[in-house]
Amino acid sequence: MASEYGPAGVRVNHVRATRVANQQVFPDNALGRPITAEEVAATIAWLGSDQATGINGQIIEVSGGERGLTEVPAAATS
Amino acid sequence: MTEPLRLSLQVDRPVEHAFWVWTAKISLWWPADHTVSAGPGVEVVLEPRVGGRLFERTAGGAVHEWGEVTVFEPPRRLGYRWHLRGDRTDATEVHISFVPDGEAATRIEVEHRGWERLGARGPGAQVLLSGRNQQVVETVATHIAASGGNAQTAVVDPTSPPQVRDYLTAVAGHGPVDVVFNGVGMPGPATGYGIPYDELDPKVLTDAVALVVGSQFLTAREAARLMAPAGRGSIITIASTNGRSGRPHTGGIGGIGVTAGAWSHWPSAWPANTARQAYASTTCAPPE
Repeated sequence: MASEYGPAGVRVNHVRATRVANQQVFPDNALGRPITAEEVAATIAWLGSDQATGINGQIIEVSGGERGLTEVPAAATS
Repeated sequence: MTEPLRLSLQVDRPVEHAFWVWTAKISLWWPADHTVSAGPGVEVVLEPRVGGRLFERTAGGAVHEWGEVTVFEPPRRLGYRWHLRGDRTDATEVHISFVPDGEAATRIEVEHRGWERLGARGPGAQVLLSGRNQQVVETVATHIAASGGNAQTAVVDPTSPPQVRDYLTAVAGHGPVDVVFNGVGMPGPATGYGIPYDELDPKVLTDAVALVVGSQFLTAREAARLMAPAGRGSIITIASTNGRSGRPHTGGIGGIGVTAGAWSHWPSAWPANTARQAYASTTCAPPE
């Protein structure tokens, strides 16, 4: 789809979002903390903005560098 | 003059209870990730008096002021000036009416006005929000309006080709559609979540895939059809990383319903001159 509509100026991208901070489990990631919905939203907003006109046909993962799954630390759910 | 933004929603509680939850228990329902800090343990406070503050307090004690209460008439009327992320002199005004609908239900009507004070910044992108479940889209739209955004809702089934085409065509009749976003939220059992593979009915999986992939395809296809003649547009689909999380029986789809909350960040992320219209749809397997 990105190839078919790219010449017409239409960009098509995909965001792979991890579980976010207010869920009970979160993936063990390289950042060592849950990702927030705002961080996912920021990526989506950026892809939709004129700041990302060169991005097309990409899968962008917002996971903090996901590795596995673990329980959310108590401090993250209080 | 920019017209006020208006929306309403229905709750199955008496008006006194609805007003109490909206004000005294605001921390219970305000999405924690839709705050300035977006951090764990954030508390939202609405001081129950005219002149009271509306603010968030982080777990570390930092305070971010959002606005000032201008009307406090329990259980029927609430108003506040809203200047989050802006200058206090540019504050817009939010007025909320709690209208009894019988003895056990309340209609909550939200009006956000005063956009002319923002000048060229305006209210940001016009977000057209649709989904199969009216309550879901209205709830998200309420968050958008209460935080200074501009969202209109519609009930559209993203798995229905004629419904998607008709609605997007109607949207495009009001101006170019710049951004299209489709998110999918499904209850765990509808995706096979938690069911050992040996016991999983293949139809659960194939139905879920059809719902997710089918709705993404339909929305993207109709969006592209409208965007191509305009020579611009951005189509964004979203899915979760569940499938490779390493946790048994998570399947490869679902689990991203929480990103619905993320939509409320769009208006502030996209200035008025960046996106004129953004169409967002949500696909949820019944029951939502």
